[in-house]
Amino acid sequence: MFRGGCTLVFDLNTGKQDEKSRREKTASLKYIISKPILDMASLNKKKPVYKPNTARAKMQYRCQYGDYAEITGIAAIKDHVEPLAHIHHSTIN
Amino acid sequence: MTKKPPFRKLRGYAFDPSMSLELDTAAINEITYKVSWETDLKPGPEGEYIKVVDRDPSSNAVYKPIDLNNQNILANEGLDPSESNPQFHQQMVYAVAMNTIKNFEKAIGRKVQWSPVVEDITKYIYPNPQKRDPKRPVYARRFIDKLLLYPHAFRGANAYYSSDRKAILFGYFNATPASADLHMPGSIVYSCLSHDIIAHEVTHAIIDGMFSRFMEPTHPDVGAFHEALSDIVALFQHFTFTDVMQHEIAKTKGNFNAENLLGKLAVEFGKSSGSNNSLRDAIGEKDENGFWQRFKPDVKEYRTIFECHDRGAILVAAIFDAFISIYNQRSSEIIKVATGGTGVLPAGELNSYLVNSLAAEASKTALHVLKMCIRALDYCPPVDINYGDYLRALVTADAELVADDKHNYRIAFIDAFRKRGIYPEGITNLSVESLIYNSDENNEKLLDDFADSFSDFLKEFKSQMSYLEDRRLMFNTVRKFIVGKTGPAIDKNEEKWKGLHEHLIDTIISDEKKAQAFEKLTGLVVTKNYKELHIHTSSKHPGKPSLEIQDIRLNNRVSPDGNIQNQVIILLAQSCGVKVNHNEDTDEYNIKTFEPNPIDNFGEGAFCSEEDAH
Repeated sequence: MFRGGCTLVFDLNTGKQDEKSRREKTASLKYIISKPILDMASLNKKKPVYKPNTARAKMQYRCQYGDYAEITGIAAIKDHVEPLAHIHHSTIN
Repeated sequence: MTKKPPFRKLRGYAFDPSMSLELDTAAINEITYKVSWETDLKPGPEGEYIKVVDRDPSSNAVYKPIDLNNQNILANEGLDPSESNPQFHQQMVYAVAMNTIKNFEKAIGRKVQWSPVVEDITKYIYPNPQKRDPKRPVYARRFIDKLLLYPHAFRGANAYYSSDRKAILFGYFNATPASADLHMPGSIVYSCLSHDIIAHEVTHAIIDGMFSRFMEPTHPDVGAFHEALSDIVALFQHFTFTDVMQHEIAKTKGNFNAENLLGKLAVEFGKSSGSNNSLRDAIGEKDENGFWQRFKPDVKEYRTIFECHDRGAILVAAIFDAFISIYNQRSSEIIKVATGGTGVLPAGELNSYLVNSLAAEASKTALHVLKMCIRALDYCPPVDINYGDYLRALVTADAELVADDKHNYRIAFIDAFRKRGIYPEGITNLSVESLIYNSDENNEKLLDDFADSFSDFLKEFKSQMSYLEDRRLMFNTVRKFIVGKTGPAIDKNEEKWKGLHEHLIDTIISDEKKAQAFEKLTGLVVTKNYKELHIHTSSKHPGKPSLEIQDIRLNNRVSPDGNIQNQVIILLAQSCGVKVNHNEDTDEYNIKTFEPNPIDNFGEGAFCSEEDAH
């Protein structure tokens, strides 16, 4: 599975006024912190093209099955030899 | 009526038992932890957040649980620190775990929640097997009230957090030191007696509760980030121990660039398992001649080191460097006053007034740095984090809470990351303004439109979450706001509100223009084009894409200048099936999408609230 995601941070003390009601707005969307599932360059073309974010998909593949899998300890995790969140990297005694 | 005590005082080790056997550190190693008072604490200890379970499968032993409400134990501020008393081991893991939880809660402004269990509840929802669609299993997230801590879980030189078991397992082992003068060969070493190991593992559990997708190996930094933050929390908690601080300030004359205990992680563990030193050191290490040398930042390391603990050490070193820079700046005034303006300390020992002043300054700075590191988590992406993202999160979180960076904290962090060649993607320079997310004001109108779409929902969410104290109720209320189910806590508003999924569909996804704009801001697919990427269709809303709402959080924080910060944070994720073919001859990657396995996709529509599972 290839995943994208984003964190939306809403500020509830906006200090902004609604033009119609003249009351303070309830919320403002202050930050969007995104890991696009989409290739944003293709999406932003005049005629948008929907395709996955190649750079991230490639990196994920390298970490899970490719050249980084062994050295990051991830291949070992898959074999239940070295769970992540051990205090240090070792072979189980 | 007698007032409930604010704290339960429990004695324990500041570092680990080995420090009590060294002349230099014996006097400072025993400290008293001030743990938040839990009225209903049961023997174990078993409280609101954690349950200590002391079974030792290796020796087939079950140890009697300690009762911290026993009057003798209460009056003595817990049991005496002891390597041979299993009840003290239980007390130690409880005290450090609760201390770590408290530090997180102070920084994030809300209660800590453990990662929920994800369960397939299809058979409960559809008792008739013929009505079940194998392509549409139904999952529920079950609330986990207590993290289980096993002080004597296995024989082995390790300890780990298990997300599957929602537990921390501490090992114990016979020491095999590199040299007999480092540690007694063959003696038993308990990882559950090390402050650093307990704090490290509890931090793993807390991060997993905030970001379940950070356990997925999608980038070399993801696992390393888990390790780094766990080390950072363990190390910076050293600075909250007053006696230890004063001792180390006196020893180093306030110079944290010299060898000191505060930057060392798990000393006994390291020395007793074949190393000449601690398990890890954030500041320096001994060279082949046995002389301690300060680390120098090296940009090559970030490009060449990938084992998650070693890579994590790069981030830890960057954070420590930032801390030392800030401390040096803040302490320089104190030193100038103490030296008549020269800034040059006299030979010999520092006077106690200067030691205490510098220790207080270092402690204050360290706590500030620790809070910054934890607070930044709320500004991280929900998947696939890297160190550059974290730098942006640090800067954004700090700028949000503290407008005037008069001590240059943000610059210190940027400088420390730059020296290690850690640069965020997608920005053109390293200025504070560039690093803060969405500093582009061109999007302001669009963001306002989106905020208006959510305003009633957010208002209702805040009003219902603000006064909740019970963690289970908080969890269930969040789940209900996600999936739109009603329940006992929110019955009175049943007609007024919808779950966030429905809100997103009504206000954004159903409006093609807004949907397109949302895609450009978030990089997630919410238009009908989702099928091109083989993203699942929502089971509740045919024709609409599946979207996972991981969490909704309410933050209440007070800035140093007294401003109150109220925020709602929403974490969204989306999955598609991707097939990658790597041609090893040309080193080219061919990436195609395909229909993913529904079992792997914990997407929108696949979840219901906890009540539905019963």
